[in-house]
Amino acid sequence: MNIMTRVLLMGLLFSFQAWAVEPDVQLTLTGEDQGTCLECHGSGKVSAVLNTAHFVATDPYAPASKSACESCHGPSREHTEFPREIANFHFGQDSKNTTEEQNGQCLNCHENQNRTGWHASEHEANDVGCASCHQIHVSQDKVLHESTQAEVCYSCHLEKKSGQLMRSRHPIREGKMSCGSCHNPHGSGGEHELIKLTTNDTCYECHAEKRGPYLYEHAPVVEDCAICHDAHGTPQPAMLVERPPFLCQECHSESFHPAYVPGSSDLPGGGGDYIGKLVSHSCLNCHQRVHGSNHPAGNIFTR
Amino acid sequence: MLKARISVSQNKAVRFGVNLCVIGFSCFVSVSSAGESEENYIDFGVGVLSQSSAHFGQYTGLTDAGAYGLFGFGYQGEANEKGGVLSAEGKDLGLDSRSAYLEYKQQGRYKLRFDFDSTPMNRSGSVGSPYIDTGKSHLDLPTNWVGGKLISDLENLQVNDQFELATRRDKYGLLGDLRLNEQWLLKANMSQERKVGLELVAAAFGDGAAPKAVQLPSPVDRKTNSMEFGTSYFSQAGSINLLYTFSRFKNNKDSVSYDNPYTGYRNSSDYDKGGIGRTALEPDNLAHTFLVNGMFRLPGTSRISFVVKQSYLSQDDSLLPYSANPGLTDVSPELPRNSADAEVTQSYLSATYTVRPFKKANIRARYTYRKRDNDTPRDDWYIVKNDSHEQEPDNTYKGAVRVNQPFSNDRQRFDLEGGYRISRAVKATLNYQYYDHHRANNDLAVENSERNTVSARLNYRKRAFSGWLKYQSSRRRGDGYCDSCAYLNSNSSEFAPAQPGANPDKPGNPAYVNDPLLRRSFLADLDENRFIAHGNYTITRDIVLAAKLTSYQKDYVDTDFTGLGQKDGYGVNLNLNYQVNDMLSTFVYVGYDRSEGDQEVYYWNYFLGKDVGDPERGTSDDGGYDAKAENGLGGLGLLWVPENIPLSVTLDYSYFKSKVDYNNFDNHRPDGALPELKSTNHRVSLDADIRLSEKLQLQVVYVYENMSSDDFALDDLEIDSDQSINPVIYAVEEDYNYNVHYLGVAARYSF
Repeated sequence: MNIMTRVLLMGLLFSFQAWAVEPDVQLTLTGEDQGTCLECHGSGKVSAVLNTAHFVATDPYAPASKSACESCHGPSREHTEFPREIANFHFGQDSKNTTEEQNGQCLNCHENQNRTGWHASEHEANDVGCASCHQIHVSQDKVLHESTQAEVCYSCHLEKKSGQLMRSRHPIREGKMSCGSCHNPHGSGGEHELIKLTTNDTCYECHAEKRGPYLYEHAPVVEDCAICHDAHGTPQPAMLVERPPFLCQECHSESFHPAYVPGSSDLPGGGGDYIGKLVSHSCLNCHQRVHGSNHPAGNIFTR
Repeated sequence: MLKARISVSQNKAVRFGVNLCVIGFSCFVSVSSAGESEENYIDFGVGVLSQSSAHFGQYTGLTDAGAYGLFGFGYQGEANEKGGVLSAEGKDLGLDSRSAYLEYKQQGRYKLRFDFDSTPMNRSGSVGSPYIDTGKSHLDLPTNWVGGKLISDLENLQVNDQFELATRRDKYGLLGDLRLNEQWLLKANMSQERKVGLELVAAAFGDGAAPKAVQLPSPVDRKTNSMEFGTSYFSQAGSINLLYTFSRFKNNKDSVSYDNPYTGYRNSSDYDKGGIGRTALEPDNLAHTFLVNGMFRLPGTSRISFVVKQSYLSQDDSLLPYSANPGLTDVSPELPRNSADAEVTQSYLSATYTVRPFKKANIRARYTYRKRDNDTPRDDWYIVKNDSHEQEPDNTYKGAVRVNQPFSNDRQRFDLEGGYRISRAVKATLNYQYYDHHRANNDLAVENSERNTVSARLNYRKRAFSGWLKYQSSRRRGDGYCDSCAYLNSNSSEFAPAQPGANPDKPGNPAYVNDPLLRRSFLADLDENRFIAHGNYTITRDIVLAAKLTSYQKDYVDTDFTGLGQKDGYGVNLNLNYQVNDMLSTFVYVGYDRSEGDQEVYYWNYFLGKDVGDPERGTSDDGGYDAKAENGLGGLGLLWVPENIPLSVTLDYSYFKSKVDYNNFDNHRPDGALPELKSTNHRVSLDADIRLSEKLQLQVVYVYENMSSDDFALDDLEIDSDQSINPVIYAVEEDYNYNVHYLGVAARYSF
């Protein structure tokens, strides 16, 4: 008998033991007091749910205090009598139940607080099921932990993974932030399902020094941080979508020094006149207060 | 460290209960099988880093070569008869990225939690500065400093102080929620965030025609206090949430001042004032936000949800004087007011209606309205240019007087979407979106843009395959430019009519037409198309393949006018998970994306007073650039839990390469193309967990990372590199090259 089988049997035995010592956990069928789901579904893979929030017996709102497994999987009496012929409610990609039906089971209890916008959310509109992201029959659901949440999101948002390998990024890889730090995947009612509805208000949660209002404002800054920055990570400094001067010249392309295009002579030792417009922080070597200035002479963001 | 992306349902190779975030990398939370009871533990160990690098330890604090103490703990108490549980955890306690929490909760009733988190942000290791008072609010040059006009004149220019360019953010939080009954929930959240350290500030002297600058270290000492109080009500009919948020940002440093290293300017002795300069740092600010959101179940399958949010932002810091430079003698101390008196009201309203008119169909309609009202007063400000030039007494002088521009805008958006389930496997969706944006600058110039977007999507899900295709097309057009408004609206109302080139036959002054060139990239007329394809294929029970393809084309209309050209890009990503057997699971991923764009610039002079379309105004081929960017990534890994050995091993390799190529052209300056910007990163991590006994586990982590980067903005740059006529004294930051080995060994004692 290999080690995994022993572990599973131990888990099964322990789960029965857990059930035996917690008589308040009612795992009987609807309206019946018969054998339980665990008689057949007692493997560690399934019974791990007993160690989760769904099965805290003292929580009056948890399935443990209501209909146990049937709270999610529906009335299962016929299934126990004809287990191979009659399936009860099932979750996952290979379920015969549609995504809407599966989600409806979860929403019976969970359509509240942060999930009031689910019906209007992008995930719901794009046929994403609760089971696409959440794992219920495990002791720790990956998507609920900051350090592992991004892995789950990357399974669909594959193109966002590269951002965490780029030079300039948020600390998601270190577990200091997660996708949920900025987004509400259940639907926020705001743009890009951001937790604070708008890009700027979400950024201000951590970057309150940019909130202002400043005496002299920079128009793209107050309009949308994403005009200049990509919060998912970029190869440019400061998560910029393009580096100065080229970024700045997407708007400031008129006369005098904003319009000059630096070249190789503007590198150190090249003898050019505009090295300061190219190297180090480029335009921000002078115009450093680019997010706004509160200096009475700060109209061009040099003070 | 990107760990195995293996769903638990496939992960037969289950790691046993080691959860050590010992090096601040993304922790692999244990997915132990049911039955694990040892949830109390103490971790202790040591880590060793082979090479110093601020970029390697950017968010972990592992920046200096040498040894680090690794400590952590976890506690999960027994539930009492009412279900109350005390839990606590501490991670990375020996590092700058430490965090901890203490929580007591009775699930379904209440929770009280205290959080602490510290996050370093290391931008650069040793940075040099000619100033000697790093960290102080005034930066002095050494007493033997010799000023001058050019870098070559600064005889004593050298690094006089070295510092680390880094900040640390410490956040404390207290969170509580209380469930009164099945319908009512109360919650409260308080936090304080403190950020300290050093940032780079740039100080310019002179004017725009002959600027000179110096980079210098500015002290960072900021605090943000936030409070949130809310209540939620839910019932079968729907739910509603009320939330009030207060946030106060306080900057303990209102400014930084510095000696002027220059004593002469190219164009005019009027700017040869020496002395000191002073920059205003971020001002204190306040925000109050009220939010109501909710959802109601209407008869049938209809639902309506809404969000209403009102925010009040204010900033009333005392203003600095026009200049702190004692070398300027004619600076009027009279500010039009003593503070910005800045006030902004933000409103947000969104309502969404969804319905399933019949089983196979769904409709979603949403209306969103946003408004930003900036009520900051406008005044004439007599500008002192970069602490370098006396104020001009006559406000008809160019740039002598500026008016602050408080930006306001309002936006509306309407979305209509219809979906139809063609079969159990296939669903089709069509979406139309209308977006309207008005921008106001105190009614001097109103800019309006509209965007119409249509998209179509096809979802497919059957047996082993699920995926979707989406095509989106949008068109943005703007109008409403004010053709009699002054160029650079911040010029005073007396200035524009007094300029040469004014046309008495045309309203306003055509030299100061609010030029369409000022229709900036985020406003310019634009046609945009996007295509996305995504699929997940379970090839066998143990092999899952995910793939995604994206492409976009952005075409800025009127390129000859605006200089903005095209931007195109595409990307492809593949991810494969393979559960080899009960002991071994693996993954591999690859990705590539490419984008190209072009931009043109103009050299003509506004002050010639030439109309738009006048051939002397300038042409579109004065200069510009093409930019091509490519990113490639790949990686593979495995999780191995061998039979009969109390061991689990995770191996992870990732590779990333980015390249940006600027091809510049300039008809006025015969320069060549810039060097490529390149970054290549290889990272290997090995994580082995060994169970030594029932209570003792050992974790060994090894990381190797090589980063090599060519960046023309940093390479070969020295403090005195800028020998141009408009020099900058640089605080040279660390480059992105490192070759680091890290080894960490930690023991976990469980009890």
